[in-house]
Amino acid sequence: MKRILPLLAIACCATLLPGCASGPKFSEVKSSFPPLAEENGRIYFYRTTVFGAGVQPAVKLNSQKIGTAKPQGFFYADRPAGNYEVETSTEVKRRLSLTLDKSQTRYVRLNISMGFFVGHVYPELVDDQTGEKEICGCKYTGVK
Amino acid sequence: MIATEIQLRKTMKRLTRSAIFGLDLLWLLASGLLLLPGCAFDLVHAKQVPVSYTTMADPAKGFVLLHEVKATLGTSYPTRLKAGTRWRQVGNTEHGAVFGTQDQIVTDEDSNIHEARLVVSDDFIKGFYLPVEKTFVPVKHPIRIQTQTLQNNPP
Repeated sequence: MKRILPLLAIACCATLLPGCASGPKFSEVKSSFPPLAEENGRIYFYRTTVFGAGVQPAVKLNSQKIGTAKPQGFFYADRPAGNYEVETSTEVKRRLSLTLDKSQTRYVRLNISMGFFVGHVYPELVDDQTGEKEICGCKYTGVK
Repeated sequence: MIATEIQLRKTMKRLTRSAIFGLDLLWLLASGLLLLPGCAFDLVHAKQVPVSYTTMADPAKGFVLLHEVKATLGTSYPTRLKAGTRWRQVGNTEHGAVFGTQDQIVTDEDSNIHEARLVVSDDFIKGFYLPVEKTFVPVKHPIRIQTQTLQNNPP
């Protein structure tokens, strides 16, 4: 049993780690992001949890793929003010509808919940204070 | 000898049955995996009704919510409105005045999550207006709210 435990731990790490985001941290790259154009708003997408690391669905904004829900990763999209729908697909589709104003910044957290075969990743709109705090530990994955 | 043969036959039968059951289960799992991806799978669905909405050009009327409110929509995910949040009228529907706030995120949740605005009529919460879907979601029972009039700058 004593021999199996370290092997199991290594196996778990080997399964989880390759799936995690590996870019620079939010605090390191934030200043390098271009300023918002006057007519645009910015939506940050981030995933804090490593749980279900193997499940990394595409994130779509108004049906267009803009990134991947990587554990501990983030990316952003600048868009004109308007109505938007964020969608993630695993064995099911989960959607979030939100509005975006000019010069507004919004935070979308990509959560994971239990599923039938695999975990479900679902987008949730969070307030600025929570978003700013939680995204700090995430690494930039870039868009698409 | 005969007893051993019977025993052997019984064991073979049992093994075959469990193999068949195992195969059935595998087929079931495989079919599930093939069919489920991409399903909308909206098990929990809040009732949305079309509504006519008019925007208020100059938000004026407002209130402060004095107590926390748990608005139930008939799904298992109630919407919590925090005490002390400031609300400004942003529009009108036939179900009541539409209020928005910058003090908290307001969403309606069923299988999906929808950003929402509050619909109030005569100090009763009637439901939520979904600005993206342009629909109205009624609360299960209208909820009386205690408010304080807000007169200063919009939140």
